[in-house]
Amino acid sequence: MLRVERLSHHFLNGGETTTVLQNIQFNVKKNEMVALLGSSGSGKSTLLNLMAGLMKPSEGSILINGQAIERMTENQLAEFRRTNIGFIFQSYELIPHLTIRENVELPLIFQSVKASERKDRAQKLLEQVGIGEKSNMFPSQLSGGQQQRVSIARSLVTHPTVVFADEPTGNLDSRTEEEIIDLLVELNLTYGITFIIVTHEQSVAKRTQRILHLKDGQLLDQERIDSN
Amino acid sequence: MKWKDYIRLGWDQLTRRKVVTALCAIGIAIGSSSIIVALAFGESLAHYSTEQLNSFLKMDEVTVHPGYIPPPSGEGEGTNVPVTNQLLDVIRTFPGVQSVASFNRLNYYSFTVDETKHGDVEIIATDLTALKPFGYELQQGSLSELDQTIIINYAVTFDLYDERTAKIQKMLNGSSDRFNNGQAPISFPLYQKTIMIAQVSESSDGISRATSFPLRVVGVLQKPDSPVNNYRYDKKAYISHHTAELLKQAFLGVSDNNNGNSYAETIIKVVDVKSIPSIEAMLTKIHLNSSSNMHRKDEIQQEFAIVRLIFVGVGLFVLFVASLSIIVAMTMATHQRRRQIGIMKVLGANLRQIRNMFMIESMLLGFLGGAVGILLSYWVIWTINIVVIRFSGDGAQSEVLFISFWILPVGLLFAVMTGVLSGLYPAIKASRTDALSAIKRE
Repeated sequence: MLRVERLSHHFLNGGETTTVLQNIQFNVKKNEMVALLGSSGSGKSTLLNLMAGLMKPSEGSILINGQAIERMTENQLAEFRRTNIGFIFQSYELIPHLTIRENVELPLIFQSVKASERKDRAQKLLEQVGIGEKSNMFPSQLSGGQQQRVSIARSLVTHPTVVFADEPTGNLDSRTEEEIIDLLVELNLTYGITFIIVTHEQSVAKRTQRILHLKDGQLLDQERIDSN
Repeated sequence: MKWKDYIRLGWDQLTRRKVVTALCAIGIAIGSSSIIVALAFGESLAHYSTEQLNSFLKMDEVTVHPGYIPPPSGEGEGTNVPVTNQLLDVIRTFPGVQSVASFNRLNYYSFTVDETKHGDVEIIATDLTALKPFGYELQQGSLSELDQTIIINYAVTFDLYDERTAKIQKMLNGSSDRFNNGQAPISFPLYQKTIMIAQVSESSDGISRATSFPLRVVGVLQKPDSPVNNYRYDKKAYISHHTAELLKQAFLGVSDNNNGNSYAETIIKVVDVKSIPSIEAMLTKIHLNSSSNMHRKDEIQQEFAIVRLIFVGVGLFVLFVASLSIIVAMTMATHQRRRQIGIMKVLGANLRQIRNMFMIESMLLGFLGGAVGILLSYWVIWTINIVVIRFSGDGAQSEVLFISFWILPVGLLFAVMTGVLSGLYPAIKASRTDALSAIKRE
């Protein structure tokens, strides 16, 4: 479903070339839940941005459903993200002046989905993530954990091929972190949604099915978690 | 993305930034209202001037005067060409001619009515039955060719004075015993009355002799729509050519036997003003002189075109200044909403969708400004009309300026276009925002 082939990424820093990622290669299967684990500066966020098509790699290839995203133009990438990729941010990134339901509807607006259908789909997802009754509230009226649930609902509303989560529990307390991870695991197991989660916390990574260890821009090893 | 969603998101953004939206909308409103007022001003003036031109200059008329044929060799005397009944019959056959009437201006005469009231009038001899196509509508009576009858215009009924009123006027004015502009004229009923046209002549033996000639008023022309002071002193009366002969006989004691032979002035009423040049060309061919007011119309229209251009120029300049405020506001908005744009791009919004979002937002701003501009322009026009009506001395009662419905969409279009054009740069800038750098947190 997702294949990363000999991926390297460099950038120029004051005339010197800094290598962020070097010869990364791995596969993610459909319905899999994978963690990219690494400390700060290991290159995990860069790898996520490359896989989401937000950056172009210096070398190598990223294939999602057989399509090489590094060859796509900006508009093609936008179209591809709209239909194939869901995104969960560390800081939720909800639009403050839109209601919870309108925030979830937003990706569907870009797909020109009918208003009534958008409303139904957004409401159903909000109920699935446990905040259906708060659909007419604004983000500022919700707790951090509830806002992240909205962000999760928004990432799923377009029925994406893969959902990228960038430190989804980074801003949450440990109890809420547990609840959010439980929710992601439940969504993965119940609906077969493919998740790639970037994290620096072992506790979060351990809840996935496979951990990709990154250090200094290199993929060290892959650890399969059997408990899941 | 659907239009409805663009509009909803754009409107949402505008209502969030109320102060900025209000300031930008006010700028556009002033600009678009300037354009609406300019166009209304131009149209009202053109309408008013056309009315005035038609009532005073008679645009659809050609005046014919006797002509002159110079001698073939250039030496000796040429031949005068009088306007005769035979020539009038020829003129009537010209294409585009609606009606022809001949006029001989006799003189200005004093008259007396009811033995005590006095007035003045210019008497014109004409074919009374031919007057109707020339716009001579009667308020009272009928156009009669009976001898010793007269048709007067409405102004003749004004400012008649007797010894008593002359004394009062002298007391009021100090020197003149006549009515003046500052006083509203009083109409005296003259219909069916006999007025005595008077002339004092000096005989060869040096003795002054007063002669009077009775004429019965059988018709009074319609009161003009224009302000009273525009026609108050234009006192004219019309008699038949035969009555004119009788009048001359009475006053001069002789007849020039002119009836049916030649006329000093003949007026041709045309069906369409466009046919005037060809009619004038044909009159030249039969050696008659002619004149029309076509050139005056062109001159006046040119003057109004310049006035209108100046007003539109002012409006466009204000809109240009207003557009700068939109550019600044929208560019600021792209900076403030950089993160939001980044999130939308990550969620799948493409360049066109981001660009359209900003364009429609500024278009809505333009529309809002244009709508306020329409209200503002109505208020400005209303205020000008109130001021003109209140302070004009000529007793104008009706609206001077008006806004035609076709002007409103034009004003709105200017406002919306200002919004669209001003939003272009910020929209392109917003669409080019790099999603990754926009969502990155330090």
